[in-house]
Amino acid sequence: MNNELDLVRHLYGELDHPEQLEASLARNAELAEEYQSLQEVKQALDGRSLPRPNAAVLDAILAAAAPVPHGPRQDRQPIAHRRVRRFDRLRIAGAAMLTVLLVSIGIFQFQPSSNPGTSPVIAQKEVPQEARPAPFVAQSIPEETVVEEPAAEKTVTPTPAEAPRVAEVRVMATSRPEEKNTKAIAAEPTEEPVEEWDAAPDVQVLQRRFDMLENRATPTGWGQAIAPASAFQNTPGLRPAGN
Amino acid sequence: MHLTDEQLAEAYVERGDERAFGVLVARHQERVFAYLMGMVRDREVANDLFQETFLRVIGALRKERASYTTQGRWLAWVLRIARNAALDYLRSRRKWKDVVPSESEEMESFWDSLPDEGPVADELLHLAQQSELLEACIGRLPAEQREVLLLRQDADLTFREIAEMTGCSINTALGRMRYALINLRKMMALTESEQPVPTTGA
Repeated sequence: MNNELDLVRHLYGELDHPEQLEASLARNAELAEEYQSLQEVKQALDGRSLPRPNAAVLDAILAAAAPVPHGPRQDRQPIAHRRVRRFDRLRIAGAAMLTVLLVSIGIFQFQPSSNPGTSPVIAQKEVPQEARPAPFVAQSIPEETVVEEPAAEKTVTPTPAEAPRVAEVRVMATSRPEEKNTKAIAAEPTEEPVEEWDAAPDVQVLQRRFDMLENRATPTGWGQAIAPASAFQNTPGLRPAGN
Repeated sequence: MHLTDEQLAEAYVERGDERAFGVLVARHQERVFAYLMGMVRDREVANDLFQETFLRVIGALRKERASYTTQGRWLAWVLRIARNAALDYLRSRRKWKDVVPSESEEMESFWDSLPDEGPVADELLHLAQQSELLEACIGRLPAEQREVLLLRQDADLTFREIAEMTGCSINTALGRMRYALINLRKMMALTESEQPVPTTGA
């Protein structure tokens, strides 16, 4: 049976070792006769023409094979992919908004320092004003030394909203109680080194008045003598009680 | 430059190259249609099945690309789809019975229990063309023998591919082919002996 099946294999060229079958065909006449008959049938089959499908069928197939507008695959994307894509868009939009916010904050922060008219002057005068303890201290320390304060202190730049508060702190620093007790009110502004920015006479007069009012308004500390009421008799606008 | 079937199929799948698919159809249309035609023996039905086969192929290529690459040749994969389409039709017409293949059965086919719609010997005598005679003889073969004959002779599948497709062993496929050829030889000899010799003009 194997030789007979090998006849079919050999007939269609699928026999790996045809030498053995050819030897068998040479020895076995019956096998050779069968091979001859099978070969005749195969020759008849090879000579026939194969049918073809109708042209309309081919056209319909090729029309169906045409690519869809979005590509060869027309299956829908999973919903999870669309969700991920939507989250990606939200993430990108959020990152863009955060970037714009940070940039705007940065511009707002650096805008005062970029104005050359105000902040450098404040930075230069802020440190000497705070470091101004008393008239004799100011005289003993050269002004150049005060100017050369550490950079961290020089670069303190108050915002426009903080400018009045800085001026108030500066005034309070110049009018500490122990200093007020040791100096004369009138002599204080004249002995104090005057900065360039407040060297104008009207500013100096205004500063003296301000200091005077500050001294009068300061409450008495512990251990200090109470000023008698007669000391205020010459004060304009004051009247003794009971009169 | 001759592209293989797999390269053409990949060009269609990856790039949507419909010309590549057209080349595939043109290259194998005769093999596939001859198999379908030999199975159903009706040209209109064969045309419908041919179209159905390639529509299934298109859908499978667009959705399940790996379904053919893992099964060997592209033609074998297409013929498997064509066979399924033909079996669906034949089952609907009750012309096919699913049987468990056995190694010993060849001539005792279930085909005998099916209605015989093929041309009888008298009709064969009147067939003028040799090819038509041969087609008629093929149509009278048992279904398993005819299928193996069509797949090997017309569709050019190997016996191993036929065995895998039909779910039988290689020896069974070889035995069916051998009996198909022997039966064809007998039928052709019978019809040739009974066919009147064409008269020539005086």
